[in-house]
Amino acid sequence: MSKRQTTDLANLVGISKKESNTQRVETILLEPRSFSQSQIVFDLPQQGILSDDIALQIQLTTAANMDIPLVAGIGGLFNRCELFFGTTLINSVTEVGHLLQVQSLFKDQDVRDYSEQTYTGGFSGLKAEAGIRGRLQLNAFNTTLLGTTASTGITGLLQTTAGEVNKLSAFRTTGAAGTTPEYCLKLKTLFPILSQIPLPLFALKERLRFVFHLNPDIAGTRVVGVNTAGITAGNIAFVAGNDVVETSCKLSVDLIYYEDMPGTPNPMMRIQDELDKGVSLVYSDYITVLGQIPNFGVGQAPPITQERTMLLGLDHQVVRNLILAFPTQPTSATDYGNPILGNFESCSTPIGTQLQVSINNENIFPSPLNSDAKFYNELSQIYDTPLKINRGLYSAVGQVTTAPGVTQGTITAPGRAFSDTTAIRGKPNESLQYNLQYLGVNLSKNSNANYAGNGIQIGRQPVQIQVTKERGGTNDVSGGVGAYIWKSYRMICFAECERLMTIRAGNIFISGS
Amino acid sequence: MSQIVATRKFEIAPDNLTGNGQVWSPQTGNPIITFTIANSEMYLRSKNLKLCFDVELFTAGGGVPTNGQVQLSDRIGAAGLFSQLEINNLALNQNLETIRNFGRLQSSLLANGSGWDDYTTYLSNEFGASANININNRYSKGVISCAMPIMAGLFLGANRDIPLSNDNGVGGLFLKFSLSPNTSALFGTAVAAGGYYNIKNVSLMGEYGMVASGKLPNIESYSFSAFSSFYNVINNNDSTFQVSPSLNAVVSSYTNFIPVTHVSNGAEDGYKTTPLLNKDPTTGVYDQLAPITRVSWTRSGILYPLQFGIDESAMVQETAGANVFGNSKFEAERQYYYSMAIRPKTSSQTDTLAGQNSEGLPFANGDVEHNTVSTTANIAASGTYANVYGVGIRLGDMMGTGSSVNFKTSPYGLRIQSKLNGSSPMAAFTFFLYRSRINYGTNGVVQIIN
Repeated sequence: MSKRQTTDLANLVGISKKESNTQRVETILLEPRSFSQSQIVFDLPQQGILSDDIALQIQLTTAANMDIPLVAGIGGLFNRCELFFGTTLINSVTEVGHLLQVQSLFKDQDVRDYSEQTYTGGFSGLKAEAGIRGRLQLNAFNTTLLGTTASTGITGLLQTTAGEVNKLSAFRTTGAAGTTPEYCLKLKTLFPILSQIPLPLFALKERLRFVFHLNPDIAGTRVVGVNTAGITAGNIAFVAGNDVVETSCKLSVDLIYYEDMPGTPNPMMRIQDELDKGVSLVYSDYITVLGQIPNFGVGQAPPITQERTMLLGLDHQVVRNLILAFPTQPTSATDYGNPILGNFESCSTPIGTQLQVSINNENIFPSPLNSDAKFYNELSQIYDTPLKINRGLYSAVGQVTTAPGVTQGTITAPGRAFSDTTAIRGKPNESLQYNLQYLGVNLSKNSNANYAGNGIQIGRQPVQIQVTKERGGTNDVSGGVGAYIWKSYRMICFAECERLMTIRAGNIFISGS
Repeated sequence: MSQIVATRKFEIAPDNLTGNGQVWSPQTGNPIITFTIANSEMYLRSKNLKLCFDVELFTAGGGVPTNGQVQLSDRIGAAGLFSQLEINNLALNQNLETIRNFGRLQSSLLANGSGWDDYTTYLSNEFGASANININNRYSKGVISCAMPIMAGLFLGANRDIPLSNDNGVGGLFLKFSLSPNTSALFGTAVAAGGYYNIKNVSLMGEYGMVASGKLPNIESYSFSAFSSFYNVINNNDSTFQVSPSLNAVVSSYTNFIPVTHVSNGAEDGYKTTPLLNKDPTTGVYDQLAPITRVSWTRSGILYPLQFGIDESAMVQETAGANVFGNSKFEAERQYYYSMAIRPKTSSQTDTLAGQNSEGLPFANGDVEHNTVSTTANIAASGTYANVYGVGIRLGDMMGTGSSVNFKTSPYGLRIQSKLNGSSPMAAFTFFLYRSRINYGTNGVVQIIN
């Protein structure tokens, strides 16, 4: 997905390509320093150079009829992840599930189909629904062998009954550590620094520490309700008791060492000498800002316009991009934001959205972005690759009607991309309808490069994100005609900001670049 | 480019926008959309240049089409709405690139440069294309919102930051999109009776790149890529197409085919790229395979660049029955050279619509809904040959500024030997990808050399 190049630490201190080929890589498996159902902490050893191949292995046991969110997968378990040097925060990200989910959607579909399912438990492969022209559902291939693995195709989904699919049993979470799947979270997707700078652990005076703050065990975060007994109306009741298996938590770490070559100084010593003098390296970090788009009272007729301005206090930081998510705000701890995606969705409004970003008192866009095509185009510039999801998942355009006499934004049978009569794990596929509309703003000059100043430097004025949502439509409301209750949305903004790391005499100093 | 120190986003409305809610259409609105990108001391970052618009399809009475009545090509989607793209420099109104048969070019570029990963995900957002006729049927019932990259040589070249300066660049750009007639752009059971399309909410979205000095660096010349197109009809079993393209730096050439009666037909997808087909002598329908037995390219009558012809005669299988060559095998060598003439331009990967589509099998994986392009309900029998098919040859270095072939004074020749029966004319659209250059004289003279 991201094509940014990694800093070559060896080259940085003058080690030739030939010398740097004499690498030795050791993989070690770390146990947590501390563990609870709300926080897991790992300390890294002070040896070697940290490779970007570092992964958290973890298992989740779930209560009856519970399974991890379909696309976010195990990412939904994590609320905030941090990387510390001693007490200095180097990298952090909040609302991990959303960031992991949107980043995975920039990967090719076949990569997601083959790797995300096993690494993170995320499923997103779509096919056209048999018998109904052009509607989509979650499955790769049609089957005539219901319930057998012969019909699973590449997405790992299985048709359990006519019109309904589930994950293959091997991918479903269970209540026992012996049978529930093990997931593997590559940390470079959470911590950009890991793929930007090989951290010289051996030359640091203090240990690096990973801290994983877990989401509470409430509906829509760790799990969503599932049912294999046919399409289920209403929510499948949330059952608590979805816990991480302590013994499963391990951190797989690759450490790089440069071997001695006869007649030349030890490369590790040379790196340490240079680091002792002081080396400055650029990396990026995520700042997460949370907001809210409130609901409306009962009975207000559509359409309703809501304007929200989110202020990001990013004084004097260089910002490379912004990613925005608009998940439904659950109304209680037992309410799933979305019955399939859990709390990890980003809702489009069927009538229209506008977006303008103002930095240093200047608008980024000549006029506010006001169509899904423009949102899609802008988001796809962030990683210099298109967001790889179908338009049915991204946009309400073409799926709803606003014709006179029709309730604004009603999903129309001819236009709807997803079916209300076929289901994934008991919930109709229509819950996926235009519910992965992440917005984004690219502010970097070169999305593939990691260098100081590759973004826009923010002044003293906060960054203003102005969002106007035209509310209305069947996905946007609960209650019947005349008793509309408009949903409340959370508003999450990820700002990728540059940091300057100075390593000197075994210490790390962090500043905005 | 490293010298770009800041970027600025732009949104440009069409020059011929007259008011809110205006539609562009060959039937109900203006059939030409033009944009002006002013000259300035900035780069145009073409990788982020997108034409954003909404498309609506209608039956003759303005109704919403039902299944198969009016729809876009499932391979190229909304790109088929444009028949010609003309790009001029603004300062002197000199032509930089004119792509006639724009949709036919996309038929090869998109289908041969994109695989299922692409069609099932982002191409539906960019082009409204799914490579699945059923899905495109559904798209046709509502607004189709597109953020379309402009697949012109100028914007796909290795040098994708285009200097807009008058003195050290192209001097601004003028883009003119000509819309296709309804019967070319659309197909379905209600197109001939007056089905039509409207385009609305059109804007050109992109990004300028600025340099630190505020003035673009001096250059003596600027190289860019461009496409050129030629149309021909082949009918005989040994057909030679000769043309003098007057291009002195050709890097690639390819040809795609479609029965002539399917062009601008309305009932047939005019953007499919079928193999050569013979008509059924009784029904007159193009549904009988006429496999290519040998392809060769010449320059001034001498085999070039391949010193041999691609011989696929061993793949030809003749059996008794109506479609006597219908059991012929897949021509892998022909497809290899065809793909190599296109892929490096469109994708860093090697995706293409493979298997079922390139080989013309009706369905893949036994799953009619997975990737069919040929359900029978609303497409003529020849739709079963909606392959990703063509012939092509790469002549030079497509991405860099390296080798190319001069056809300025040497005619280009394409000889196709096949099983065409002489009474089944096939349209052949040939495209050249070539490099061009703007030279800046010391006395202010600007010269474009093709």
